[in-house]
Amino acid sequence: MDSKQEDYNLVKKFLNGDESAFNRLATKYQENIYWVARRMTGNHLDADEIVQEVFLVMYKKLHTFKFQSSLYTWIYKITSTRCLNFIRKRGLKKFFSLEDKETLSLKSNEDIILNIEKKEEMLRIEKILQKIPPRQRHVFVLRHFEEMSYEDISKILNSSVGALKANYFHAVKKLTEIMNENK
Amino acid sequence: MKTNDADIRELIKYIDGQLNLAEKKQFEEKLKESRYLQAKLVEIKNTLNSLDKNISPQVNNLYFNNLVPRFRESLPQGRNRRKDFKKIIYSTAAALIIILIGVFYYQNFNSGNSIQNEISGLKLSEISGLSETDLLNVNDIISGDYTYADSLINLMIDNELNLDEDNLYSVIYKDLDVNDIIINMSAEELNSTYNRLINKKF
Repeated sequence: MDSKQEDYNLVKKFLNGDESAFNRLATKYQENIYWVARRMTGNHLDADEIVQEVFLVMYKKLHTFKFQSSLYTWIYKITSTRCLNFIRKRGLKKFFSLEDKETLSLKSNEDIILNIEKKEEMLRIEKILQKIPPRQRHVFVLRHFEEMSYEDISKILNSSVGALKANYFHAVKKLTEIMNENK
Repeated sequence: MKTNDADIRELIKYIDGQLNLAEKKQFEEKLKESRYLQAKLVEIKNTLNSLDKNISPQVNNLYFNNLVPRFRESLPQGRNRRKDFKKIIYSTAAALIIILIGVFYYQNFNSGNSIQNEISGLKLSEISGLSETDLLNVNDIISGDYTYADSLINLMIDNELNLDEDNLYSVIYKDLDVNDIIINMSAEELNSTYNRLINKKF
């Protein structure tokens, strides 16, 4: 059974009252959701919050899913919206200095990465990713890390393929410049 | 060789696999001739490779194993609660309907009983004047059929007043000649009646 058909069956089962079907769907996509959220927000705690939010939206809105697109596109769309909303809110909090230093240090300390060296490298890369605009970062994350086609990304971000290619170009260009500055 | 933003754009497209075969061949020719583009190619590839280290770090699997259970715990058992709420609504509605039906029947039963008691309280002499049909009607009432209740009560009142239909008309229309009334009135009564009628606002 292919992934799309499996998703279809699980959604149907869940809508017919089988709660375990939702668990299977969530488990199937949880890592993708987490890593997109983590690369977008740049830390574990925020990513964790987004994952829980995405699960909740999936749980409440799965009955509205019409199978006109694939389920993974739908889930990525929810994740993307949540990430962008989160980043916007965080920007506002930073602007009004509502996020205290204690919270910020807690965010950088809490992590699920076991290897310390890897963790440091990861934090460095996450910081670099945070330096490019959210839109470009989003396109870069979906294209580079999630290896999605521009067609799928355009469905998720409601944007034309041409605009996405331009976003990707600017993201790579800026990341290369930042990497060179950090050397 | 002079390079510009369009060359870098094409270079990124080349790395990203966005060029078709002809474009790719053409760009590779350009790449051979440009040291700047070659350096840029290495630079961008290094950037992307170092970002790739971010792809699959070793993580604490316990976190992912607990993600769904944590979500379940945070749920206010919405679905089940919604189902329970529906059950409560339906059962309350059903109970209300049953109660209303019960009250309706109880009231009818009581009103039936009160008529029954009234009728059963009548002395034999009081109903002895009733015809066989009337007695059958009384029987209907006792058994819960009140269709003839009104006619029976009217009949009983008529009997009590000793009025039949002809008598009733004769009582109503007897001595109702206005001239007779006027003749029998005194001059003072006539004057006062005249004044009352004149002053009456219709």
